Amino acid sequence: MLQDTYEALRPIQATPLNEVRQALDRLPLPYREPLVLAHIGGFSYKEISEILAIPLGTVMSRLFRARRLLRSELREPTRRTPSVG
Amino acid sequence: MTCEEIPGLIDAYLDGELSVATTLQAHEHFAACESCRRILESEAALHGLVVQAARAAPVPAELRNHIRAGVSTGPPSRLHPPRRLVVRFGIVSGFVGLAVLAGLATERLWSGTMTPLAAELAGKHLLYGEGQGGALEMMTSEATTMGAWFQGRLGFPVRLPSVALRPERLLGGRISSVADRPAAYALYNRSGRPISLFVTRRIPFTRRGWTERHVDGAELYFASLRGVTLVWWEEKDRLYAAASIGDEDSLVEFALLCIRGAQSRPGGAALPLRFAARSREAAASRRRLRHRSEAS
Repeated sequence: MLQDTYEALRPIQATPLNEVRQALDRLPLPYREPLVLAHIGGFSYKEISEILAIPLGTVMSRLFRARRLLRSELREPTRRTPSVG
Repeated sequence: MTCEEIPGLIDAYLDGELSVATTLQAHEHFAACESCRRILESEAALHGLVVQAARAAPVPAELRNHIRAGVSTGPPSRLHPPRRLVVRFGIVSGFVGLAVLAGLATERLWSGTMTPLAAELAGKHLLYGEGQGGALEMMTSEATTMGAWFQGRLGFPVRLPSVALRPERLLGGRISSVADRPAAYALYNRSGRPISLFVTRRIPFTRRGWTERHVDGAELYFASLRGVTLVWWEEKDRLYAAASIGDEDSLVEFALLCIRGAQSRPGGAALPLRFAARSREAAASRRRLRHRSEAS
């Protein structure tokens, strides 16, 4: 089922960088923070957990959710991300 | 490893957060399963896009302030040079297949007799070290220049020993990886014999298959593979590994030189001031993080 979802995606490599940046900016802060720390700071999950003072499991789930939200934003760039629940 | 397990592991796989054993299992699965490989490529592309987009744009002030509040007095360099970019860009720029195949080939060739870490270190020594320096990205005989070059690319300080009064000569270095983590690779020459030195962040792996020896108070782990003698040791949050075709004694000597060159001594005479300052800075940063974590 998951495979089908992935196969249905457009080639994500083709996304223009400004579109990715806008999508990143639209991510709610609790999701954007770990994503930026992981990708730009190169911090490990444990380090992110210490910096943000959140449990390791929360780091992982927020990263997972952040990437899903981002992917969904990139498929529908005009849609706004719902606020964090 | 099954296809059902892959979606739950893929982020940690791309972030280099899996154990060596699980990473190798994942390698094997990706090599055999085309649909999971497509998922990996799609996820790797997303990871790469985020890195590129975020690098090309300044971090939003709101986010920057929040992070600064968390690590307000930590070393500023930690936030800048991304240390896993090498892996991610490698993956994104189409070397998934190559990485998977290389991982598999290495593992299958040697798995019966040696740990994956030993196979990787010996393989990279043969590739970079025995090739007369052709694989180096930076040629210098200055340890401080080499260390600064590594830090600029990896985002963490790399302490190299001073070999001014030693038979070893530093030839240069390159960015490499150990167990899928970015690593500094420095190449030395001792009487015409290459010695490879790998430095990376500490990684969890099994010590089975390695022989432990205590030399001058240092805990060293040895192995030998295809004529390559290997030794690794840990120091604080770093993993050091050296490899050379030759006798164990000269490698022990080299390992001890690295250890002595990186440790504080009373009076600090043997330790370059730069390293001493960084050690103090790192200790202060750890204390701050611990304090913050306890307070929250």
